[in-house]
Amino acid sequence: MTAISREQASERRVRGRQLQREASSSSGPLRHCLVLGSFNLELIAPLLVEALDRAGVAARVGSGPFGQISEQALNPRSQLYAAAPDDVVLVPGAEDLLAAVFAGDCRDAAAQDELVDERLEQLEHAVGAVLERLPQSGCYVVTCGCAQVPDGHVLDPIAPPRGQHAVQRLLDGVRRLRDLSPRVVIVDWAWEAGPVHPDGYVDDRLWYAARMRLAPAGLASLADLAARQIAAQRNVPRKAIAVDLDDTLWGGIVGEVGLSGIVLGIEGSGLAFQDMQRELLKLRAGGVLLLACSKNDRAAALEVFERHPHMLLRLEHFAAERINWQDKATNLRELADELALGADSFVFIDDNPVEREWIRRALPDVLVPELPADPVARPRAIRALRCFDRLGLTEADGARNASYAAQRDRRGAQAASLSFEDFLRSLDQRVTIEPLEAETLARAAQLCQRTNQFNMTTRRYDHGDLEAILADVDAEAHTVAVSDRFGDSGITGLAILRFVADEAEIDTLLLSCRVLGRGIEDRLLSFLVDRARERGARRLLGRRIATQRNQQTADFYAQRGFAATGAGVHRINLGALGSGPRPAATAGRAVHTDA
Amino acid sequence: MRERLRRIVADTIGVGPEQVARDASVDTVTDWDSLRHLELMLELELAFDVTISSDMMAVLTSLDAIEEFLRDEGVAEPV
Repeated sequence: MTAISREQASERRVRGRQLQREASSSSGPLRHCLVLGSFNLELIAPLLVEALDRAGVAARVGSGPFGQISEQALNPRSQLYAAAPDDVVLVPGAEDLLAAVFAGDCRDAAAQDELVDERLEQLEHAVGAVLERLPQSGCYVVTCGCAQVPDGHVLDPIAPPRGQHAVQRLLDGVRRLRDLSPRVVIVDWAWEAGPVHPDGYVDDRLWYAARMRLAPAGLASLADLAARQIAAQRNVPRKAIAVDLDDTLWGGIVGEVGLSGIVLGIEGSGLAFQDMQRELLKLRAGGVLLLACSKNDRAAALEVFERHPHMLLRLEHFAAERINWQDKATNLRELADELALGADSFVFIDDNPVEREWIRRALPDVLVPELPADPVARPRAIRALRCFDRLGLTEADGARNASYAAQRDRRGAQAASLSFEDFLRSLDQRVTIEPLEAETLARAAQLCQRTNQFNMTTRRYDHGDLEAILADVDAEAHTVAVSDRFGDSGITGLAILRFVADEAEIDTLLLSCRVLGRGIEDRLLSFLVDRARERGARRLLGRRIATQRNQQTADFYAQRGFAATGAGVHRINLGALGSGPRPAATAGRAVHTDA
Repeated sequence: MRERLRRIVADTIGVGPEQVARDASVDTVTDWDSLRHLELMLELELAFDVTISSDMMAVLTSLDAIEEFLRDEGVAEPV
């Protein structure tokens, strides 16, 4: 990562201050972040506001009293709990937690280990208390090293008096706090900035005047990483990357210079092009769909994929491609249709600034990052993209490209089948509806964040929200998994029912576009009807909240016998179901097989 | 010089320039608290390319004192 200068920090502070002023005079919804440090972090507020704004999150930031992480966390009447922020950012500095080591009073290895473990245990209790008392909040724990090692006169990195070992042990222990709960997110700033703060990140005057261990540049760097992770929790990552071919995946224009004339290999800029391909393969392995979008002689381009010895990318790595002489905006629109994704899921990579500008104008929702003119700078530029940020990976991420490829084959089968029903039967489709549980929470939260088109209410529940629903006796959540002879799509749907008196309401009903159009939505609805009836509900309410992306759900309830009651709510009388209209198919069992 | 200083103080403290009088000081500007003062010192260092020692920071609590300090440091009036 690039170090942040004093000047940059100053500019960010000014902008952050301006954002804070604007926010105080507007009434838009703001995320509330509270920073609690072992040292004075008051100067971070505008810097974190600015960093969050850059990451797409409008927030207000406060800081609690410093040096009181445990006190604030363990006291139910503390400022922390009075504020009840959406995000708690804890910054335990190594110099404060291991003060005895830094003072030279703890130079023995065993005593140091004991001290570190004791501090980690206190921190774990504090984090545990925050999780328990703020069940809806995220807890971000920052790894924060030191300005200098405790005794730099000792050069041996392992020698206990040097203290380096104790600091590392502490930082590693802080990282492991992630195991406490998925709501604990480690902001590993000590890895980004180094366990010993860079010079410009520390200002001794600020320490002696106000107990500030970090200068604005250091705070800006820390804020940047924290904001990135807070945003990753909320923002929907881009789903697909569409890449140009000539001069992007290899050097030169294959239609002009031929297969042997392109620049691609294991040295010089040829290696840079190969590394570019490696970066794309890494994104693909993380679940990003890889697409080719090129104005090219199709036969010549395909020959590169098939025959060039240094090509890492193969055609089968692409979920879809458009290699033709069509305008690229048209190609991207077609790709979006084919994959049933919105333009706002796409990132477009092209070496040609004219093409980039054209796509920015024609398809403003597509993200078009700048690409350095020098190919050797590009692998780093791809790694620096933040639009694919996510906190972790689920199993579904790794399988996504294969699943889309299977989808292509399914479409082939659909075209060849006599009727839709025949097609469904030929799929050997199995739909499994199961109660949401701890193991499937992460995937369910991901679906809430990502699903746009078949999503009745588009409620972006995160992990904490779903945990709360699990704990709520008046609510129940069910996941839907679909498999067929082409592959296992895994968990691709979620439904949440809430019960109030003798009514049940469908709070959430969503399906990934990968499994749409296969009758699964009706299975799910039938299942919900049965669940509602089993729990004694007399009426089932279906709510729909319109968004720009879920038009296809507009008539879903009306078409299935629900009566409109206004305000986006449809209602069906469960008592009348026996004779009147009822959702298609019979439910009752959680596993349905079409065979 | 004084006008530029007023603007820097106002920007740092987060008030309009009209709220920073020509002879403003810690005692006359309500929001000029110890936290803002530290930020102001860092901003002055950047703006005038000077270094302010810890002791000096404690003294530069008025526009008069700041301007005198900057002149002593050889900061010229902008033309």
